Amino acid sequence: MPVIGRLILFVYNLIMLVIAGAVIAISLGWNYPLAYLDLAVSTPENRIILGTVGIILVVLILVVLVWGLKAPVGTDAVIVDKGLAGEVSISIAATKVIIMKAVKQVEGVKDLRPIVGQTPAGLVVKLHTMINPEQSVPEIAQSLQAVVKDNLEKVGGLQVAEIKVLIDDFNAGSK
Amino acid sequence: MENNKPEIPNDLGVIRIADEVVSTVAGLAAVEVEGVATMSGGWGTDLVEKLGKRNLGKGIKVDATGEQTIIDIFIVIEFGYAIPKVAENVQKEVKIAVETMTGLTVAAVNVHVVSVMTKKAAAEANEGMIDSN
Repeated sequence: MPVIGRLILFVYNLIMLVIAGAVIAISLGWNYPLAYLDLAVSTPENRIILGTVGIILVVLILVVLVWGLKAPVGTDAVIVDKGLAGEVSISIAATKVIIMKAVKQVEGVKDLRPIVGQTPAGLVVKLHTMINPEQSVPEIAQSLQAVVKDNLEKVGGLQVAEIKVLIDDFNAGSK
Repeated sequence: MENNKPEIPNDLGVIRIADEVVSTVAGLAAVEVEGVATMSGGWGTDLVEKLGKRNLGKGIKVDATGEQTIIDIFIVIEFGYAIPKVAENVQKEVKIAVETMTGLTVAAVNVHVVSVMTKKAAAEANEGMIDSN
């Protein structure tokens, strides 16, 4: 959704909050909101202004609704091959599955969160990792890089530009 | 729009093939390829399928305007298979199946791998589909 859409949604939520608050207040016996409403519709000019604001809000909300319901125009994907027969692409989600399967081969990895990006040179993978404290960080990082690169290239046929390993945490519960 | 659809004329008239037919043929050919776990049709199609209506053309988009047909296939691949090889086989099989069965000329088969699944998960997904029938 574009920034303007989010802004409209924000304003809409604020208006809804005010309306909801007014409804609750009226239900609790506080009549000021009703008095303001009476004032707002008391003269034809006020009614025209109120109606115009209402129409603008309806149009804006319909636009936001359409933006919200519209499916994304194609998921993020990496093109593997482009030939006469057609194009082969792999979604970023699929590359993450390949990475998660690959890291199971590395001992000592307790948790892993991959972030995959694309550059003209190939994929850039960032691995946020939690490991056992008794493991050597350089060793495990090297193993992770080798295994992930190998799997992405062999299974996915993808070109890997860079694999960054970030040890976020150590598994405190391990013995 | 309908006039842009490919037609196969003969002495008796004209044969027109609906996009749904092409997508069903392509879908059946694609799932037969080794390494293809399932087709990915999005949550809407999956929901309808769970309710009992199997869609053989799910995950297939056919653009059959003019002389040539372009097919987009969204698949889930079984883990352990080389994706480029499986995708290439899908392209070949789909092209052969569609051209043989419909007589249309397939210009391109674009394969989009949307996910990767283990053999067990794929078997469960396919079992669910069979149960719904």
